[in-house]
Amino acid sequence: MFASVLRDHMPEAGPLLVGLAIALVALGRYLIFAGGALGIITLFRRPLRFRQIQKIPFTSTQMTREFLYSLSSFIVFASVGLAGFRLNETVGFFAIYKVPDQYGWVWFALSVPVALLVHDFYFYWAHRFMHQPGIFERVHRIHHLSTNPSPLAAFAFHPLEAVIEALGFILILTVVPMHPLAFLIVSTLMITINVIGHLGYELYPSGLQASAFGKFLNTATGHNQHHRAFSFNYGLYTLVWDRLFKTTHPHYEATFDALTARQSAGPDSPLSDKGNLS
Amino acid sequence: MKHAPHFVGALVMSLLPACVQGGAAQEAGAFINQADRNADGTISREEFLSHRSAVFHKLDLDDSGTLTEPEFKLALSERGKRFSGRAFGKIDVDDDGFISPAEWEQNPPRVFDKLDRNSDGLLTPSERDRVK
Repeated sequence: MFASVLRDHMPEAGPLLVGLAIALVALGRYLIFAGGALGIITLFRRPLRFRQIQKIPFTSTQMTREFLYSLSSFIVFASVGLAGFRLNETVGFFAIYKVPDQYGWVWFALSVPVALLVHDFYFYWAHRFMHQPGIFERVHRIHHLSTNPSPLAAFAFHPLEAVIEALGFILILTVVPMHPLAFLIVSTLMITINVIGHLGYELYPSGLQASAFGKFLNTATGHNQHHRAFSFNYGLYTLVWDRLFKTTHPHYEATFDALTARQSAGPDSPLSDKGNLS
Repeated sequence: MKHAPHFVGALVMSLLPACVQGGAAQEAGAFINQADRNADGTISREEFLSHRSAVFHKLDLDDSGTLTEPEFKLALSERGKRFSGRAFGKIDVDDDGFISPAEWEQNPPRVFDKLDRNSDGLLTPSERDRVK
């Protein structure tokens, strides 16, 4: 989207500039969202300690690796994005539209959740595919080197996995007609929920699992469990597909409830600090 | 560092877009080859602009002397591009819904100046080769 905006305003912009724009926007948002999240949980680690999912600190080795692999992913995103952009110039397969009236504001609003669900479905199956023995070691292992991921792990992918993730975005741009602004909203929600998944702290309210929406919303607890136990909670934004295909972690709700209940237990509670939840 | 080969791999992947033919370059290439009327290998600015006005008459399907939105749309879709009202509006300066020959000529594509590296008003074969 940024590439197309750039092209419209600067028709001379060479391919290098378009690629650079994709990489820099991805990097900028990563630094703000993942860096901001890391800052908040570091600053408030005392009051948040009851909500820490695994009671072990992030190591600097781990965070350096997560950071460098995320940078590497942005190079791949820019490459795949620019290749898709160039291919679209010749073949024209992107469904993106520029005049909001073309589909109306109702579709504009609907296109966001539709794109999220389509992307979530792609992500779920691509993710399960990457957990297949033989594929896992070559493609997805790098992301799982963090068994207690920090927010910086949001884009810590092997280059091949980065290609698979980038194709998810090519897919939604192809099948869901979206206004560039709707795509901006979708990609911002993606990075937000991605960072929340790797937060290491459960910040959602305790009653979440009781509501229909909360039951399907993916959480920090859900994705942290995935990093530790591998074969559960494959979803990105939601647990819709996990619930449908029966891959939610058996202790998911119990862990979530325990983590969120402990805040109200207070610092003097016998439960505080000790007690390692799995 | 044991991860270094992966980072090198990511850098190598940045060559990927070069393997995909961009539409803009392809079009400009065809346009420029046709523009060389006397086939001497060099295209003057005059040749370029006269080819451009020939294109105008080709796109003007009903010979009305102006380009309408449907004509413009068809021309774009033949080139595999989607119609955008903004692109049309940019050329249609007086906003009357038609592109007149004067409006067409006032909006010369920047591609000539971009390719004419030494700004001598001529596109030499080596300058042309920059467009595949």
